[in-house]
Formats: sequence, structure tokens, C-alpha cells
Amino acid sequence: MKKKLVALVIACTMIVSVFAGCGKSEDTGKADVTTKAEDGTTVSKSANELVDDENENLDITIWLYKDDYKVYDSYSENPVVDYLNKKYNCKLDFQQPAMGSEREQFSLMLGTGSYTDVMEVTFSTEGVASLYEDGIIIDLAPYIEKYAPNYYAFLQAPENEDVRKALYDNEGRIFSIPTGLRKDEAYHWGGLVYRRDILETMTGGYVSFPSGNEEMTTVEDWEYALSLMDLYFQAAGMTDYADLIIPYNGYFQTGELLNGFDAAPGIYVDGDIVKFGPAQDNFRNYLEKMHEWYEKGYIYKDFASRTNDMFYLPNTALTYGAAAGIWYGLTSQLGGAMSMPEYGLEMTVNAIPSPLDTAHTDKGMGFLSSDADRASANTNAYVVTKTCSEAKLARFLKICDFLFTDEGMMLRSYGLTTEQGAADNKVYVDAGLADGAYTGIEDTFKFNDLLVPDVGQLSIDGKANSFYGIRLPGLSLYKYNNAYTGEATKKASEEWRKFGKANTYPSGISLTAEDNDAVSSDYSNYSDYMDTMIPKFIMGYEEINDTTWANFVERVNSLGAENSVKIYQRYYDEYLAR
Amino acid sequence: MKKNKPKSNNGWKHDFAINKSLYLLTVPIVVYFIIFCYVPMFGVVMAFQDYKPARGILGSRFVGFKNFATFFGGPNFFTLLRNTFVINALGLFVGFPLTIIFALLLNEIRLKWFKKSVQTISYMPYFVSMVVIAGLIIEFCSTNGVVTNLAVKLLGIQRENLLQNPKYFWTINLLSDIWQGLGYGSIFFISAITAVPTEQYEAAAIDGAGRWKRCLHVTLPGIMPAIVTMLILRCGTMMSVGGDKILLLYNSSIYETADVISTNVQRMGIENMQYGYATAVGLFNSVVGTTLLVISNTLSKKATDIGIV
Amino acid sequence: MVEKLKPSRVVFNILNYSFMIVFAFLCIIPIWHVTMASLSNPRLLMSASGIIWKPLGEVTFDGYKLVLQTASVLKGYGNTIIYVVWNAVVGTLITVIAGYLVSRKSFKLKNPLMIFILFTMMFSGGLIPSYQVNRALGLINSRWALMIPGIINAFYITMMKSGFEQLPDSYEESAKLDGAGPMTIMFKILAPLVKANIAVIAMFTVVMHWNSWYPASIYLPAARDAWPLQLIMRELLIKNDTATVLIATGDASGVVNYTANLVKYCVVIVGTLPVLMAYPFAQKYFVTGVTLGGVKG
Repeated sequence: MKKKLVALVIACTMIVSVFAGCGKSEDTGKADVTTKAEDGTTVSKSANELVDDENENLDITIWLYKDDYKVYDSYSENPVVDYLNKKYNCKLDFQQPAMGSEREQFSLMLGTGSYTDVMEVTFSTEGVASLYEDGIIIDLAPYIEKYAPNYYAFLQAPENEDVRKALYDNEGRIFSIPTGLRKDEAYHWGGLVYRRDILETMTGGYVSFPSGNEEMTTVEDWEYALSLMDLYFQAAGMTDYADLIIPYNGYFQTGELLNGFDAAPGIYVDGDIVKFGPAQDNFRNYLEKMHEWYEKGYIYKDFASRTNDMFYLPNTALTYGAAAGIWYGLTSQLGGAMSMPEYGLEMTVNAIPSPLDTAHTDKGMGFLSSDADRASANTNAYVVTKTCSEAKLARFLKICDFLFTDEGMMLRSYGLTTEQGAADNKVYVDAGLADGAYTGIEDTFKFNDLLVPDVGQLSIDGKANSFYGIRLPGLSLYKYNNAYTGEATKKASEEWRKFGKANTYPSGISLTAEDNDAVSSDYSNYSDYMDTMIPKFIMGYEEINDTTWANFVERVNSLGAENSVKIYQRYYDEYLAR
Repeated sequence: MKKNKPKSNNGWKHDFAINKSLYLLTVPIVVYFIIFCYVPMFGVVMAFQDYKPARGILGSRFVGFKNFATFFGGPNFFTLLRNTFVINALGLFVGFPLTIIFALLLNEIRLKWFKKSVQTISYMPYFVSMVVIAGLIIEFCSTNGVVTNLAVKLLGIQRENLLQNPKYFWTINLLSDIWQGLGYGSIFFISAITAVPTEQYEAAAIDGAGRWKRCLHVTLPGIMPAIVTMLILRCGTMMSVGGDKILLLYNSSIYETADVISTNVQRMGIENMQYGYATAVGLFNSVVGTTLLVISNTLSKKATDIGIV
Repeated sequence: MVEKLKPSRVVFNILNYSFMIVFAFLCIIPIWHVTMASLSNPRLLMSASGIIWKPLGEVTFDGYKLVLQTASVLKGYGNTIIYVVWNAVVGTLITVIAGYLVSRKSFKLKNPLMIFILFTMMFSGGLIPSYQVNRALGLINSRWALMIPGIINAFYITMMKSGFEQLPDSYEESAKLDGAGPMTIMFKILAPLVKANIAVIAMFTVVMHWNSWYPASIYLPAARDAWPLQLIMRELLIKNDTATVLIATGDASGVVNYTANLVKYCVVIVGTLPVLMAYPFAQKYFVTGVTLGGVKG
């Protein structure tokens, strides 16, 4: 009898524990549903009038990915957000996924239908056009002019035509409010660099490039440098070194090296025509040259296998180990920054552009994918979902509008001043910034001593993004930061942008869901094939001759490159006509 | 003659009467599986849909077998299938027996402290996390790495990065699986060996059996249920495991021997959030795995009378 | 038992012991390498290749300081212990019961139940339906999300079943003759005989839940206080990813803080060492030779 009772008790406990949390299902994001019931989901209709009582405190939920904020965990505690909350009588409630799981969480949110009022779409796998088609987000066009006049004015200004074209679609709809649109110049943070000191050592200070230029410019210059570097490393008795480090798939997806061969890593534009880089003959020239260099031992022998290794990244291990000659470096590595005086090693690192393949071309390709920030406005932006009530939409637009004014821009980019309540904000006070993040304006601008940027440090969110608001929608100003950028960085930026960006396909153009699917799966197929063949070509496992090249081009095209080009061409034509 | 009506011995009522508490205990277990396993199974329907996260399961378009067609008709389908089977077969026919042999060898160690230490150390690679192991392997197989040096000296192969040449991958993967999994995989068998009653050993010794014969005729049959169970389970789960390790170890230049179904789906399906495609492939894996499970179960029951169902 | 030591036996022993020594050496390399690396000078570490036999440069505890001073590491440990203990105790208990149920020959539901359970091991709906079910049950952002959904494992039930089936029927029969009910038989008689099996399953459960971070990243995005250790370690790893760190940091003197590079290694040690200690506890139960008693013939 006792045993049966025990059995029964165990059975009941198990059943009960299974239903343990059942009653708590009410507080998971249902708030927006109730407000939706209040105001109705009539946001996208003819009524362009939004009712918003300023005295009502609204709770706006926002989906945003996480960064390392250092002093707090959730963006809801950001001081600029706090300022906005006070100013607009609202509560910006940021819902953020665990780091590393952003895409999955975003897809889950969409898949389960529990959207926040506002979403930041960097980690969306679909473009904003598809999101609209699927009925998740709303069209903001009817409301922008009235509720966000500054934003509207910004879009209409002639110098912002590139942004306007990227954000508006053919039917005059606009869905996004971009994050961190640059108002002014920003410098490049990375590109090809080389160890000048090696050349100096090997030539006794008399470096003379075949092209006659001061710096390496042509492929012959590179060969001159690479052979000297090879001798240098061998003379030093090193076995694990690399004269030139290239990525695992044999080419830079950002266009480096290829630019000089007048070749591109993917879709690009030649005047009005959209083309596919790896199918062009110049790409073959690139492969042949790389193969030649690999045979001579100039290229890192293990380049293809070091993709997943978390513990040994050639770009850090070899470069910081003084075992690399030319690599894709960062501005923080320029000059003598990497020297190790305690080991008697002085390094001088200079920035260079891609080598010009004078044997086949004289102009190079203007492919610059990392610089398309402004035109990629649709991918790093905020959108409003259909669960957002009218009042919240109005309030949110007002906030965004403010962030497109000069005052908002300064708030986003540099933080709070004393006038804006720095001394009242806990985060600021705890960090010793009660005097504000900066003082003055224009010529009188001065950073708080604790926040002065370092020379060579480019990103304004590098040191202390806990104090600024750069993850919010709006404009970014780099001017004051740029003042601290060293000469080396400015010069490097020039070198790295030498070929310009005339051939870059505008990256902000949003495709329909169907087309997006097509180009995505095309890309998966042909990029997989390219990733396999190109290293083989370079390493010599596959020979490069007319037959193999023709096969390669034909296969790449049949795997979807040709199809993608057609689709992109169509959108490009429309873009040009806008 | 008075005939007593015999009490029915086979009916459900009878069984329920004597096994009441068993039935009671079954209930919560069944409820658990229904809620957490069978209810979510409706998601399998995604395999037949053009699933879009935005539309959800109820709203996505039904496309029949299109996802499967994409999978079977993909450019590398047969390569993927071949690689999956070869890599798993190697693991099953080489790796699996080795765990048993290792358990048996360990059993022959008499020094208690030595045995315990070796046991503990042997499963450390499993704990240390795949990322570290993969990193070490990539390191060892690089152009001037330890293993490459050994291979060049002992086997006379051409010096190159072993992970950049497709023909070495199966061997490298197998050896690294053994390195990492031998210790941990043998734990189950070590514990099964301890369950063999000592009386049987004593009886065999009395009959004049030496160590080797005792091992063959007492230990091995004694752990046969454990071996068979593990074997059948491995056959059943073969299609879906192992992807993580390969994902960390492979690179694009050796896809032709290293790419398996699960890594391919990871690249094509999951990274692009094509859930429909990924679910379809998962369904395919499940069906194949179940078939293998049923086959191996039936075969083993015929041969050894032991099975898991 | 007296046994003559034959020469072939000696040879076998020598070979066996040598093999074990070599194998143990190979197995200890990874953890040795990581430990030594975690104590090394980070700058030298960045350019090092091969196995690290001793700490490079002077021994540095900076990496550990960085990891252990991370807010919520202690909470992470605490949470993981809660999840691990719960799953090991309750989960193993349920697994034993389930294994017992599917191994009782006289139980009519034996085979149907086994098939019912096995089917769930083979077929799964995937992440999205599971998420929806858990959401409907109110488990999102609650500790229970890591304590209920994963608690029963079909694989382990199968292993438990084979353990029970290894035992001769005579035990159960004689116990029944003595008038014992199913519960007594299960707990008092059979379970002690498969102690080794139970210990193995408990250990596997401990290891599985100790290492798990994925469910937490999906079901507990906002409940940081309930995060297991591995998820916190993973976040730390991402934040200190060398590539990101190099772009963004730098102090006034222009020297990059390389300590972040040590974090990878320290995270492995901090996250792994405790569970390595779990096995010696389970080893107690792997006593060779379970003596029979009480059953004759």
C-alpha cells in the first residue's frame, strides 16, 4: 500500500511539474497586443493622422542585437536612451538576444509572431521589402513628412540622393530609418599593409621598386618585395612564415588584390551593365598570378585550412609573431605599433593599394564593398512592425526625427553634456563623467579627458560605446573623432581607396522576397563551388588552362551566377531610372 | 467433475491488476513525450512548405516535395551521401570495435591506481571541447606540423598540408574521432564489464580457462547486450551526429570528401535560414536512420536474440 | 586465485601497459596545452604555434582574473549546478523508471512504450515548434525551460533497458514469490544491481547539461540571472574575440591589450575543470564483480 502511494505521488509530481509554468504565460510580450486592441491595427491605411497624447507614457518595445556595453548589460540602460525617455515621456524597452544567436532569435521572433513594436533589421535574413510583403512591417511614407520632418528633409536633400534611392522603392514606399548614417567622411579601417622594415633591412636602406615609385604599386613591385621578404624569413631560419597571407577561399571578398587585376570578387557594375567578376578573363589572370606566387612559396602555405581554428588566426598569429610580409591589416597596426622593443624587433608597417597588373590592364577595378555604408541604409536600420500602435508610431517617429537634427546627432555620436543632464545619469557619474562626455561645439569642442580617442583608433564606438547612442537610428558625425586620426591613418585610407568605387553595385537596393530567395540560393551554390575550386587552382591541385577555365566559367554560370546577374540587372535599371 | 472456470491470464484487466503501479508510472512519461516531443513534431510539415519565418508554419506556402527535390537534385547530392556513409561506416566498423577492445584491455590492468588514472585521463579529450581538439588537429596537419612531419618521414608522402588534400580527410577524421572519443565511448562498456558476475569468471577458471579464453567466453558474452544496444543505437543516430566536429575541421578545398549532409545543410539551409529545406533534409535523415535502426534491430534479434525492441 | 604467470602473459602485460601509457599521454596533451597556454604571456601566445609545453614568457594570471571577475560568472556556476543536479537526480530517476518499465517482460505495454519512446529519438519537429510549445507553457525566460523539456532522454532509457535486461529473470521471479510489488522490485532489488549502469547514465547527464548552452541562448535571452556557466563563457568569448578587440581597443600609449587573447584558453579551463572531477565520483560504482547473494540455481 505504501509503495503504491509512493508511486502515485511520484506520478502526480511529475505531471504537476510538467505544467509548472503554465500560469505565467501572460507576461511575455503580450502588452503590445493589448494596446493593439485598443488602437486598432489601422496604421497603414489612409488616415495619416496619428493620435498621440504627449502626457501618456508609452512603452515601446525594440528588438536590437547586443554589443559589449561594458558597464551595463541591456541597452535600455544606455544614458542617451535615458535622456530620450525623459524628453519624450516614454520607455524604450530593448529586447536583445544572447550574443551569438542573433539570427536565430530574429527568425524565431518572426516565426512565432511575437514581434516587438520596432525592430532593428541587421540580422534579418530577408530584406525590408520582403518583410513588408509578408505583412510584418508597415510603410512609413504616409507619415514621414508630417511626423519626422527633419528626416524627410534629409532624404530630399540633393547630396543625399544615394540614400534616397536606396531607401525608397519604385512605388514610393519607404520602410526604414537607418542607424548611423554618416554625415561626413569616415576613414577606412583596414586594407593591405606590408612590412617596410624588411625591405629596408634587405636592401640596406636603398629600396627601389621596378615601377620607380616610392611605394609598391604594380605587380612587379610586389614580386620584388615578396622575393626580398622570402629571403629575409629564410635567412632568419623561420619555418612558419608567410610572405603574403590570403583568405581561406583564395581571394578577398572585399576586392583587395583583385582590384589591381581589374577583376571583382562578385557582382559588380561596368557602366550600366551588371557583370559577374569571377567569370571574366581578368579573374583568370589573377588566379594564374596567385598560382605562380604559391609555387614560389610567397603565399602562406596553409591558407586554405585555417578557417575554423579559433585559436590560431594567421592574420594575428603570423603578423604579431613578426612572421608575415604582406597581409590585410588594421589602422592600429600602422607605423611602429607592432614593434616589440623588449625582443629587439622594430617593425614599420605601411599601407598599400592592390597591385596593378600592368601586363593586362592599366586602370584597375573600383570595387569597394566595405565603404558602401550610406547606400546600405536598408540593412542597418529600424523598421516598425504592424503590432505597433498609432500612438507609439507617432512617438517613435518624433524620437527618430530628433536624432536627425544636429542636437540629436551630437547626442548619438558623442554623448551627454552637463546641460543634457550628465550629472544626473548614474552611468556617467559612476564612470567619472559627471562633467559630460564633451564640452563646446565646433572650434571649442573638447572631449572629456577620460574619453579622448587614441591616435589611429577610428571607430567612435571603440572605447566607450556605453556612453554614446550609436545604436539608435539617426545621423553620425565623425568630425571630432577624425581630428584624432593620425596622418598615417589618413594616408592609409587614401591608398586603400585608390581605385575608387565606381564599379560597386549599390548595396542598399532591396529585392522582393522571391528574387531574394533566388539570388540567395544561387549565391550558396556558386560560392560553394568557387570556394572549392579557387584554392585548388591557386595551390596547383587543379591546372589552369583554357579547358579548365572554360569549365569553371560555365559551371559557375550554370550554378546561378548568370541568373543572378539578370535579376540584379533588372533592379539596377530601375535604380538608375529612379 | 466440477470444472473451475480458469481465471483469464492474458487479458488487459489481469495485467492491469498485477502491474497497476507500472501503468500509473507510464502515464506521466507518456504525457511528457507527448507534450515535448510529439506535439512539436507537427513542425515536420515545414519540410513540405516554402517556410518563411514571417509567415509562420500556418501561413507558409505548401510546396509538396519541392524541398526534397532541391536536396536530391543538388549539385553534390551523391558526393554528400557517399561522404556521410563512408565517414559513419569508418566510425562504426573501426571506431566502435576499438572502444570495446579498449574497455577489455583496460579490464586486464590489475594495478588499481594505474587503471583509474588511465581511465580518467582517457576521457579528458572529450571534455576539453571540440574547438580545442580541432584547433590542435589543424595545427598538427599543417605543412610543417607534427603529424605531417611524421607522415613524410614514415610514409614517404609528399610534404603538403594534409587538410588541404581531399584524400587524407577520412583518415584524419577517423583518427581524431578515436583520439577524442575512445575514452568516453568505452565508459559504457567498462561499466557493463563490471556487471558480469565474478562467479562466472571463477567457474570458467575452474574449468581451466586462461585469461584470453575467459575474456572471450565470459566477458564478451556478458557485455553482448550492451554492445548490441549501443550498436543499434549508433546505426539509428548515424545520420545526424558528427557534423559539429567536421564543421570545425573541414575547409572549402576538401569539400569533396569532407562535406557531409549535416554540414551541407548547415551551410545552405541554416545559415540562410531556409528552414523548409533544413527540415526536409532532417526528415530524410530521420527516415534513413529509422530504417537502419529497424534493420539492425531485426538482424541482431535473429543473430543474438537481443534487440532494443 | 593463484595463477601461473606465463611468458605470453608477461609480454601481453608489457604491451598493454605501454599502450596505455602512450594513449594516456596523447589524451592529456589537449588539456595540458590549454592550461599552459592560459598561463602564458598573451603577446607571445599570439604568435606561437604547436603544442605549448610550458607557459610562454612569465606566468600570467591576467586571463583568469578577467574571466573570474566577469559579473555573473559565479551566478553562472550556481545556475549550472542547479540544472545539473536537477537533471542528474530527477532525470536519472525517471530514466531508471522508464528503463524498468520497458524491460518488464510481463508488462503488456513493454514494446509499444519502447517504440513510442524510440520514435521521439528519431523524429523531431525542430526548433520553431519546440519554441512555440515552450512559449505556450510559459517557460520562456524561466529556469524551468532548462529543467523540464530536456529531462528525459530516449537514448539513455534504451541504455538503462539493456542494463535491466542483462539481469537474470530469477531475481524478479523470486522476489515476486516473496510477495514484493513492482516498486519494491525496482528500487530495492534490481536497481542496486545495475548501479554501474545508473552511474554511467547519471554521469552522461551531468556532462551533457554541464556543457549545454544552446537551449539557454534560445529560451532565456532576457533572464541573465538564470544563465548557465557555458552561456556566460560563450558571451565572454564573443566579446573578447581577437578580431573585434584589435579593431576597437587601444589605450593612450598605443599598446593593444592582448589579455583578451588569453580568454579563449581560460574559458575552456574554467568551464571544464569542475566536470572533469565528476568522473572519479562515478567511478566508485564501477566496482568489478557484483556479488550475487540470495538467489540460488
